[in-house]
Amino acid sequence: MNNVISLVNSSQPEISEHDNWHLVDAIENSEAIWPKSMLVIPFKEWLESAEAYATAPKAFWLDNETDVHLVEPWLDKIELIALNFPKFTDGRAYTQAVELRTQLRWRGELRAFGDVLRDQLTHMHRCGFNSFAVREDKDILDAMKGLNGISTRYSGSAIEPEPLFRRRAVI
Amino acid sequence: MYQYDFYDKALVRERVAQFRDQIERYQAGKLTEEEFLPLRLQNGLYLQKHAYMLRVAIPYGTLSSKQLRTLGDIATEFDKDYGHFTTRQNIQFNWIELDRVPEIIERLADVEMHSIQTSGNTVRNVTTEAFAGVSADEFVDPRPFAEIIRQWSTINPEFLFLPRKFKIAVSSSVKDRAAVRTHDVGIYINRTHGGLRLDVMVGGGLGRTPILSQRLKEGLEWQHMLTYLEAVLRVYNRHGRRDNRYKARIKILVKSLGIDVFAEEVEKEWQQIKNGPSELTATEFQRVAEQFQSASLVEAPTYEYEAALARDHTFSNWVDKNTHDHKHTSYLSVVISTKPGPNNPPGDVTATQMNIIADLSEQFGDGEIRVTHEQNLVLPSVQKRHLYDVWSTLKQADLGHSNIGLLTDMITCPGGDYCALANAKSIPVAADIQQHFSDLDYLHDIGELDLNISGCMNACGHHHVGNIGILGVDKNGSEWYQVTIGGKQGEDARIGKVIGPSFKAADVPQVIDKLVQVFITHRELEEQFSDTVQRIGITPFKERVYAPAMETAE
Repeated sequence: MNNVISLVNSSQPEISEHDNWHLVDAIENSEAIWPKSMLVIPFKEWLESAEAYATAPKAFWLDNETDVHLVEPWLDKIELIALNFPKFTDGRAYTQAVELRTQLRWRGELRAFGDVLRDQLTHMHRCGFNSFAVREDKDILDAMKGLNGISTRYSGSAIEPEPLFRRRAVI
Repeated sequence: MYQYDFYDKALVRERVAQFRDQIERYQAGKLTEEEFLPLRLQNGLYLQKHAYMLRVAIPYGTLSSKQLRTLGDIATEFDKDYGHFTTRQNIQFNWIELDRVPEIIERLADVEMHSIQTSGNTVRNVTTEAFAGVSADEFVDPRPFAEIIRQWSTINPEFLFLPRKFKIAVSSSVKDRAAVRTHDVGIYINRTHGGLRLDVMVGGGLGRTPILSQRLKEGLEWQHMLTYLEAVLRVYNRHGRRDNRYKARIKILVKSLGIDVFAEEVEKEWQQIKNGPSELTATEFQRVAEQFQSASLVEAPTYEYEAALARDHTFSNWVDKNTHDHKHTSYLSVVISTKPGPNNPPGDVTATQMNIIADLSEQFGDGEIRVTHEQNLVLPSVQKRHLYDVWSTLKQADLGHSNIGLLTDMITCPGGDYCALANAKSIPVAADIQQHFSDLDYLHDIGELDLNISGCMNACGHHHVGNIGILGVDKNGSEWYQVTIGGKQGEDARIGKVIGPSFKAADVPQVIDKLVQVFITHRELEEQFSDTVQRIGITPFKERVYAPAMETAE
């Protein structure tokens, strides 16, 4: 995938213009150059056919209408889950991410793709995303600034379960 | 009142810097119109007919005198010398230049204010009643709960792109003065043997599809407030409709699932987070509640006040209409009418008036001012012996009109004069009604009557729950006004019924006059308008209004 910011290996964001994952609408549309194991396939296809491949893909993506609890049986077979933001104003994937992290205890890579923009990166990060495939027409160095956020975080979140009132220092 | 600490201050400062940067990027062409839109809405900035409009949050309607002065300064320096108080207890500035917005919100931050989440598909400013903390009929002060919700909802990352806006109101007194039933979520707080318990209502709202909220959870222990709200919001964020913005509010989801199925979904979600880290702690509640403890109230003689009441009929009329019982018998809460007559759009207050009110609150009150959802202002704690002085000063500033709760105390949206969404003007209609009903004795004789005006079906003027509601509609490019009667706010709220075809603006005052005459003819004892409508039905009103040949829209 292109234009990726990653916090998977470090709390300092790492940038890659192209990484090894390849997201496809359908397996049959994938080009031969991509090893099957590095495809990010639709979850529906995963359910239908993943078991049939010798080298099964290690990732799938969900549309934002899918109940994330459906993925539970497969979590130990994969490395990456990608969630779609068809429009940045459609906030369903925030809740999907929170549920994956806090209820299903998913510890692997959680990637945002689609209409992923600088000004929402902090919100995505706090909901549990740790990599971001920024929309390809956007400058990735500029987008990275979106991770800075605001230092006061009242509510708890997927990456910081305690709300401020439990973290608050007496000043 | 609540004082910002280190964290609150850091948040508003950093938010100023963030929004300043976003505005600059927009102006430099790095953010498209479409990308900038939700960002500016999340900072309360609208683009209206003539200019940008900035909506400043007044959390649960509480202001300090210093904050009110700053709002006055902003009105003078950045607007046309006035501000407009809204039904969500906020204030709007109508003539704002984009370039100067950072400067304005910086000024707000200086006095612990902001415009965060006063718009957009987010959790909006939490509201409660204007007499919180001082009302004689209160179980517990609702403001600590409202402040805790404010903090929890501010930049809560999961809930910034909801299907639609989300409004929360809290009430904890015998009489609901916070319009709880017309909110997406409303919380009634009660004191029981087991401590403070919350009744959570869901799915209320006005707009195109007016619906009153239903009971979702009864007797919730206060410690669970945030986890339960989180569960409600999560269910809404996941299942609320996004295909049609007019069907995207939580009320539509609740209606389509049915309250029982919706409650089950919430319960399922809640069980996963109940007793988790977001459970409120007694320490936190205490920390917040302590800040709302009022200055000590003292016994004060009331004989001068009693004498003034006996001596001055105009004064006693004003006290009768414009004060509210205080928990301490030496005090009253004063309601300042922003609706003195046809020349003042309801809710509009000039910078000079803001300063006068701030002075009064310092001299005779506790330095606090409240905003009511009927767009008036309140001095919550004034000793009775000072009331005459307060009234005299208010009168000189055109703020002493004694019409609170009466027909001319109208809720009115800005309407077609300002608003880009409006189908029709509201302010001139309100002015005509003010003109028509300028006789105070007649108004007092009619008694309490809520008249609410909205310039379009988004219903910012709450016309559905007005005893008489006026809705501006567009028919083939001309403005008409539809009339509903029998609406009511409060715990037993009702949605008004349309009486028939719409009227021209010029006919609205006499239509109201006829409705009022029917009411006066039929009312029994102290019966209120909506109860008369309930008892006799709308037919007698219709017959009277449509009897002569008046031109109406088909």
